[in-house]
Amino acid sequence: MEMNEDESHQQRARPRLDRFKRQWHKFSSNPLSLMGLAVVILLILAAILAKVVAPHPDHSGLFLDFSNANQAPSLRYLAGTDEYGRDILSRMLVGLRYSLGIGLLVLALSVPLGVLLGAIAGHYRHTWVDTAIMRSTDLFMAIPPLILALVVCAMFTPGYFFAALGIATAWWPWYTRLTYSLFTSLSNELYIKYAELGGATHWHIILKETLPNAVSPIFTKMSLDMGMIIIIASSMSFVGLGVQPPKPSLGSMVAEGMKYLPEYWWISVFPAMMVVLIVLGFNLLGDGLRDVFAIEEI
Amino acid sequence: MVTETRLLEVENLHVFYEVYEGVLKVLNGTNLYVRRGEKVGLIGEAGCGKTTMLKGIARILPMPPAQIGDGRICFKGKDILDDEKEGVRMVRKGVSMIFQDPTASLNPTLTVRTLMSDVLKSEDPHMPKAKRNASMIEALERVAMPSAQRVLDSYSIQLSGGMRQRVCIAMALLKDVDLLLADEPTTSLDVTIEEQILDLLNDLVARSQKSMILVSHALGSVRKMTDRVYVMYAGDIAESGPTKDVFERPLHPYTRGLFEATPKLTGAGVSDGIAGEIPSYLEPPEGCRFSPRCPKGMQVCLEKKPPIFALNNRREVACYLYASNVGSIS
Amino acid sequence: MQNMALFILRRIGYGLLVLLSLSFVVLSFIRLIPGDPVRMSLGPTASEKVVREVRSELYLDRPIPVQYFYWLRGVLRHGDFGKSLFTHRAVSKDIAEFLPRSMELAACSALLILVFGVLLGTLSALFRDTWLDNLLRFFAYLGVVTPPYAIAIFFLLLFAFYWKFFPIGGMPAFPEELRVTGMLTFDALIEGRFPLFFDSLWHLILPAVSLSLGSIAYQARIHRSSMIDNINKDYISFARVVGVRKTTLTLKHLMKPSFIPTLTIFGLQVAALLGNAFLIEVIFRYPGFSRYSLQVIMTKDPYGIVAVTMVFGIVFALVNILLDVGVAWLDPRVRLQAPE
Repeated sequence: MEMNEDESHQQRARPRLDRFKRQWHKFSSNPLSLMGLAVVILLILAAILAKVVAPHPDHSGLFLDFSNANQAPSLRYLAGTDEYGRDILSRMLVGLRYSLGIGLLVLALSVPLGVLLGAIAGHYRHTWVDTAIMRSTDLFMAIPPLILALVVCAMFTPGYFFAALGIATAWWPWYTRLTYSLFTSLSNELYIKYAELGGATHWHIILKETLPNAVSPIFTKMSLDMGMIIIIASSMSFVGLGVQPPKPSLGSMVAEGMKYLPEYWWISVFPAMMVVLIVLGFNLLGDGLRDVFAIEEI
Repeated sequence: MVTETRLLEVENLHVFYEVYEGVLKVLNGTNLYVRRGEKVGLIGEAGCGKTTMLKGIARILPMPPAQIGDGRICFKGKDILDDEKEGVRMVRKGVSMIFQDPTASLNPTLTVRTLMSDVLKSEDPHMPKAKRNASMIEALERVAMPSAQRVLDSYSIQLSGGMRQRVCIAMALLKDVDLLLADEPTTSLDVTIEEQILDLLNDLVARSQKSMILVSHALGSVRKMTDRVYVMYAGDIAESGPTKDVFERPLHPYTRGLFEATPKLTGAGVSDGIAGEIPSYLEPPEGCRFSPRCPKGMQVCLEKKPPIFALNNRREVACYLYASNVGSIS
Repeated sequence: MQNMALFILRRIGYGLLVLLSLSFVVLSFIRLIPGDPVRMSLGPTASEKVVREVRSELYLDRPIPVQYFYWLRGVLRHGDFGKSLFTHRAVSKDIAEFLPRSMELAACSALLILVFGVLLGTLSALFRDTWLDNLLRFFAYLGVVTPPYAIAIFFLLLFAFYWKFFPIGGMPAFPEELRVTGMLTFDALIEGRFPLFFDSLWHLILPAVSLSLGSIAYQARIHRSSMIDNINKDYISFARVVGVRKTTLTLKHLMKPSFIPTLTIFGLQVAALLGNAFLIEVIFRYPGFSRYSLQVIMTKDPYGIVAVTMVFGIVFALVNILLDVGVAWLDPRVRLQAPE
């Protein structure tokens, strides 16, 4: 009945591994989450190997072949060709690269900044630092995010980086607010108070004590955000503000194909389906993570 | 006045919860009865299944995770588990319950007036407004609520803990029920209010000839208020009998440990408690669920679950120590 | 009540402050970015003299604070938001012409989101885990992951091209004499011009549904989980056990608290609506404000952009204040807390 001392000691010695195993068990019990993970992994691989896997990799650049223009999907061109005779599937795979890339870029730009500001504001609560930072978030959240992204991007030269910059400009306040509220609720935890009493420096408390415990909600939000960011980025390239032609971008491919509706439907439909697949994968993954970390739905 | 007719009879009730890790077998063939006009106490430590029992009787168990397996719950002679619709109807009509946390029991977005009048409207849709108002004021006055009018127009967050529990009691007694289930009604209240509320309950129940099951940690209050008491451990009834008798001469080793663990003003003071922990419901022990911790545990206890031995004077014990005492008192 | 009025006033005051700051930030931002919008709009053939004249007229050659001062003075005194380099006329005129049309579209969409989002979410929650729930959740998920322009194209293909049920886009012409609010559908209705009203409505449906579908899906999910969270709350079991009828229980006791997160999220949905409107207006060739916004943004039209930002900011702020009031009405805990 009683565990021998050795066993119980072993169990206590590997809490992190056990916790991870438990979390994986919970995550994998939901087939949808696993599907999301599989889709995301597949997409990432496809993006990395795009130029290798694509049947006609050179079609993703400057390429003209009017004799094969507007071909319906066939064995040679699995997703058909567009008005310039370019293979849509190959372009989709390269476009996938840009979509995933923009998602990562936006997160890379907005999350560190947003979280850091939120951490500082949350730590120095009720001081002018707090007020200054949180009021800035109000400023950047005053207009719908897509509008802000459009304005920022359009003012610079439209392109990949500035599209990401635009979205990031609208995105960072959310992370600031999230981190701020996490810090506020964590500040009541005893171990924080002990650290303060013990004379730990502010940076130590922020980075070593509070922040590690705020990681899971932030991480979950990041994966849920990927889908939304990609939708916004593709909406922007739909109107020409993303990756510039002749480089393929899923949104702009859909836009270009619009004038050929409904006859040459594949030019718009397949890229749109790719976007749906990407977002589906990330959303399922994000939902699965959220279930594991038991966060409230936001 | 306690009569012999059994208002409520729970026979061999099995309740289990399906959770992620497996199945929690909480109630494993539990038996309990309440006679008309009788006040029955139910004591035991946290997590022993008292709330599950009460919620099962009141038919408000959350049925996705919870499942009722074997067993019967006979209310006024009819098995309410048998016919779903009719059973629930009978329970809604004849049984009421108050919960441990009065703050969680009252909808924060509705006024007391709305809450109470919804109960009245559900019972009698055609009751005129004036009569409803009068009934509500009367109900609040019955629970000794000061400034009843003001309370009616308040939201639960505007009231103190004691007032909230009074509102709950008032609401529970708006309809004329036969049985009141009180699940630790004073545990989340101030000690100073505790006695007031319990006295109030005692008074209301006694005056109207209702039956009551009182679950409480306040052993002193249970002793004062109840006619009979059940001691519960890990989903099983350890022993039961007339309150005075059980408190004066606890038979089951668990009950003895429980009473010994209670701090006393005279004598031993604060004791060490009972060694060990309550068992996991996922893999409960084969035999008596208390046997792993029992200072008097025998081999048979670990292997086979003890039946309920009926002794003299309405005492019942589920313990092999008393197997040979059936019919006599040791 | 007094609390509420003060609350609203404070929020409006603060909102104005934010918008004012925003207008300054946006104007400065436009000035600081390299590029010459005047030259761009007048074309390469226009003479240097003309370009300088136009630039001076728009105060673009003055220091930023000075330009801002003139702009603000114009706004406060005459409601003059400056001149658009894109339409070559007063921005206020542009706003007056295009904004009501988008308001129509937005209002229609917002209504759809609230009504259908709540309805479907409720059905899903009440019939949890049945085939209905699973079906609704499946479609809700699809709605959330599909970009709005894809939804629009899908509907266009299906209902306008394939089944020729709805018109492909645009709106019926707006007779000048009818212009009361500037919203064609509404004006036609109140003037009793029913054929025009129905025609306008018919043109409005597809764009409105395309714009709102993603949000309906999201709203339904939130409302569903909100209801499911509350179903297990003690105050529901308590109300049930003391005798409240099931219908009242569901429609009043359960719905009211469940609406709180729903309303909060609705604010975000409105933001999404306002943001995505330009896609819909472009695809359906709807003569609205968002399409105008896109055009002024693309041409880097300074006063156009500032005005557009202001309009979106004001609408968004108003909607949020309204929603906050709604939440405060629903949840007395919000109302009765002492202000921090």
